[in-house]
Amino acid sequence: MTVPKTTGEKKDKDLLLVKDFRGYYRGIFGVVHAVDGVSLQVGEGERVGIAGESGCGKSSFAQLITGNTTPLLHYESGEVRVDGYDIWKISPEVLRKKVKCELISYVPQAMLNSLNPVKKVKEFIADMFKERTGCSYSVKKVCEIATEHFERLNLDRSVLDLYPYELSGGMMQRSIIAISTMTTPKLLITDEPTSALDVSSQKRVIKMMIDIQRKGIIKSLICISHDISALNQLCNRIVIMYAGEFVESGEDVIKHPLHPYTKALMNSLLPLERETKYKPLLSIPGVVPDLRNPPHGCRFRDRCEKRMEVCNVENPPEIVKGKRMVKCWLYK
Amino acid sequence: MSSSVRLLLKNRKFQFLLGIVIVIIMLGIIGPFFTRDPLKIAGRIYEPPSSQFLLGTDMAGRDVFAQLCNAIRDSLMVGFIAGLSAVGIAILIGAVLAYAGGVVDEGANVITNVFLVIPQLPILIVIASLLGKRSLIIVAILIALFNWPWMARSIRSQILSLKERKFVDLARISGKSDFVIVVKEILPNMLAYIFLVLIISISSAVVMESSISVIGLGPTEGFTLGKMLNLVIRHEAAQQGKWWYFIPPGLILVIFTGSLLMITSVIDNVLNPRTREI
Amino acid sequence: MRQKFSTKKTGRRKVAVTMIGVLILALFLFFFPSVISHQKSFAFFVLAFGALLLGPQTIARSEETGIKKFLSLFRDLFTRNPFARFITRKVFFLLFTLFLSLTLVFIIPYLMPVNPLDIVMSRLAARPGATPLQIETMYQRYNVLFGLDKPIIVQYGLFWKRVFTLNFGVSISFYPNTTMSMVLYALPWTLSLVIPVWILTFIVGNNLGGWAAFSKNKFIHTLYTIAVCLNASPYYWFGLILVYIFAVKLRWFPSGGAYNSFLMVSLKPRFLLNVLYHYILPFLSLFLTGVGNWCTGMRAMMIYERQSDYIFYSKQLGFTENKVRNYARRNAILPQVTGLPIVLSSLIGQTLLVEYVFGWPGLGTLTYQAVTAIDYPMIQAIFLITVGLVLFGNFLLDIIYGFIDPRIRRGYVGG
Repeated sequence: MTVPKTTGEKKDKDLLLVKDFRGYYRGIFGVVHAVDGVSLQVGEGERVGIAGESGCGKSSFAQLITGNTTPLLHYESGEVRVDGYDIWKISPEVLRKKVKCELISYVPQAMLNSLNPVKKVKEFIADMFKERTGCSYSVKKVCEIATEHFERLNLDRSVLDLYPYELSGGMMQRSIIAISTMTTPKLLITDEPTSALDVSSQKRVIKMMIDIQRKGIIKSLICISHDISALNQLCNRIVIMYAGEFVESGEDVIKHPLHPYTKALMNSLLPLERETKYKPLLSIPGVVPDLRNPPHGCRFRDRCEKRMEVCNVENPPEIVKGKRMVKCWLYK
Repeated sequence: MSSSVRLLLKNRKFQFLLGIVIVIIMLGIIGPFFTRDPLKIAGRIYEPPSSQFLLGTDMAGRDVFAQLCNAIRDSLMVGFIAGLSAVGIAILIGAVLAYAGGVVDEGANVITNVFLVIPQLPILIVIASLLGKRSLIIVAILIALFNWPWMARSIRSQILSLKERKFVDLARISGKSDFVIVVKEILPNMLAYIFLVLIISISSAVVMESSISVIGLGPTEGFTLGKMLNLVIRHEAAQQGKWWYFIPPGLILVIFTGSLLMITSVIDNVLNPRTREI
Repeated sequence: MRQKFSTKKTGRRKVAVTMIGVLILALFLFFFPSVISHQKSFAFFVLAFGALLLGPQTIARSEETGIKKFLSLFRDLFTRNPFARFITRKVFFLLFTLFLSLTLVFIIPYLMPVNPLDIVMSRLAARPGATPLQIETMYQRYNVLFGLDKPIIVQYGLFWKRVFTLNFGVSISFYPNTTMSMVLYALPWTLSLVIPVWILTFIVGNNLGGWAAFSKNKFIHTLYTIAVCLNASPYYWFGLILVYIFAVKLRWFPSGGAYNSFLMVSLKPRFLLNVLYHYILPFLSLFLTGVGNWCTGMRAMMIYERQSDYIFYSKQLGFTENKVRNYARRNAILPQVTGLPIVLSSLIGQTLLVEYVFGWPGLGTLTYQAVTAIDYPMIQAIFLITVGLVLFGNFLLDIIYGFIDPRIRRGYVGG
């Protein structure tokens, strides 16, 4: 069985094209349908946010589109094209050289031990240059390049001389984002960049990510988070994920939510407006379905107040209206 | 807890290894009753193995197989006594230190460090050379004295981590004294760990006994595997090519300690849910 | 404002290397008593040691002068620079342990029910040709040397004087040579076995373990299993097996001794080659059994490191498999290095036994002779040298570990 090896045919101008993609966890616990038929298009110049509760499959999705999955997560079906390269069909060497070194940078979640503990930051950056671009610079030259890049992003240059254990959480997160973008990849994917930080650090990280994209260091950005307020500041398009599927996406999802889940999600957030001071905080009743046996029909039906007959039977299709997408029978 | 024991017993590897260990122990316990007197000259000098002499004869014509069985018995006796007492002392001192805390704990820590660093064999040699008559029990106690420090340290850290748990707090609030808490609450939870430590202790005690016996500093009474090897070296059996004499004692040591060590890794695999294969 | 260890990085490294080189040279001098006496060697050694402690500090503080500089050196040694504090702690530990273990050796005979000197003397008396007058003079001499008729505190003091002047009297078993000279003659033979085995098992074992962790190569896996199995066997027994196979059956190597008896001890190539020929079997019996020890540890550490965050991130960035393995190895070896001192002390014990099996003229054979003759001063002297060696090796290793683990260097206390 030969797998077609697609190489660099730029069929679409989208930076990232995901088509009906599935990825499952397989183990003795059974098969967990972590990502079940999602589609996404990210073009150049976009900042896309993927939001959802814990356990909805966001991190699994991120791992699957970068080709670096934990041992139990497997690719099932579908297409993921990064700048034309179908990452699940090309050879690992092409994947490493073309996609991982030049096109994508993935900043994983809460990885406060992401840097090699026995090497200084600047030594690690020198290694990274050599591996990613093939140029071996002396540590001094690396310092120059790194200083310039860091200063462009308003980062303190002193980080370079430290060992990883000497950095604080916020410094580490921002340094990692800076390091990931130093060789100007086209697409940056960050997973929960703000979760482990205090509020002021969060603001700095968000500002940094906006800067990176505006200054052209990267072309597009995908940010995965459960923090809707952060995504609101950062992204110009938001995708809502639930139980392994994308249920809604668009530019004004937060202001005008369409899907019942999104509406309930927005209602459960805490806005800082005076009128809402005495409004009760609503939560969504019920629990997320067990993805080992995903239910037939709409996955949100057990918790939806607008449930209809057809919701119990068939999974709603993705209904696209212009730039908006909703996956709900209400909008058929 | 008994479910994990049952799981262990069903494991094929464990059954196999346990079988080997039991065979060796049986050789040591039952063997001496069914074989000839190991000290009596029964055949010609250095006879190779035959149907009459399972492992041939030694340099004086004595039955090697009989010697082996007796040696296993005495070696295992020393090993078990030393291993058990070392673990006993370690539990006692480990528990005391875990509860003492403060300066006593720090000081004991430093002293344990010192003991760990001093090379064991030379000091054993020094002490053993001074004792005129060394019975099996004295040798066992000597070995135990050098084995307990590192065990006490790991037991102490285990107890310390268990001490912080909620069920110990509950017991404390209900008024039980520290001693009762240790015996009734903490130790039962550490049984698997203590069992592992016991196995390692016994196997290292057997090896240590053979090490000092080879030089001639072993027990002055009794006959152990190490003493057998001492005779082997003194009479240059290996250089003379009498393989049936020098291979068996060492082989038994290898198989015994090797099996025990593999048993510990099997137990670790089975009882530790995190390392169980997915 | 962080205190730097020295003003220039290259300067610091040069100084450290020079100091350690001087220290090893000082150790070397011990082996040539005809050139420089033991006492002078010892004094030189202590001086070199002190220089190692204070030297780098001196360079760092070259601005201050005179008494102030001297005082500030000591102040810094105890307070400011974390690395200096670390070294000081290790030095104190070394001295304390030495003190404790030597005191132990001193005390033990007095706890025994029997007077060791009586045993020694009775043995001597049993020797043919010993006249009562000779025995009496030996007894008196030992009495003076060991101070047996004086109170125990004085004996303790005499013990330390013996230690510092390295004078353990005339040997009973090897009359008329002094005890110390016999021990120091045997020492290089032992070291020639211990040190190469120690270093080579570390290098080979860790590499094998590292490869076995992730390679699918059958050959490597069989090597690994063999190494681990061999590790469980008693090393001296394994030596016997080697002798049987290679010396008796195949006749490739000699079965014992360190050199043919008709050759004179010298530094000529003919002699050295002969020694090498005799060296191989004892070396192999220690080496082959010692490798497995490192294999299992390294394999476990590599598997552990492979799952860590920084490996995941590096793979994300597109690092080659080689580079990633490099990173894992570099981190995995740190805990292994902490095992080196323990292996050293057990290796010394093992080498003693292997020497006895092979008749190698090192400390092991000497110990056996001392034990059968109950030559207690000799046993004490051997113990002193052995313990000194092990403790000093520990100390050096602690310092080296401080250099390679940056967390310790910068004063990370959590380690």
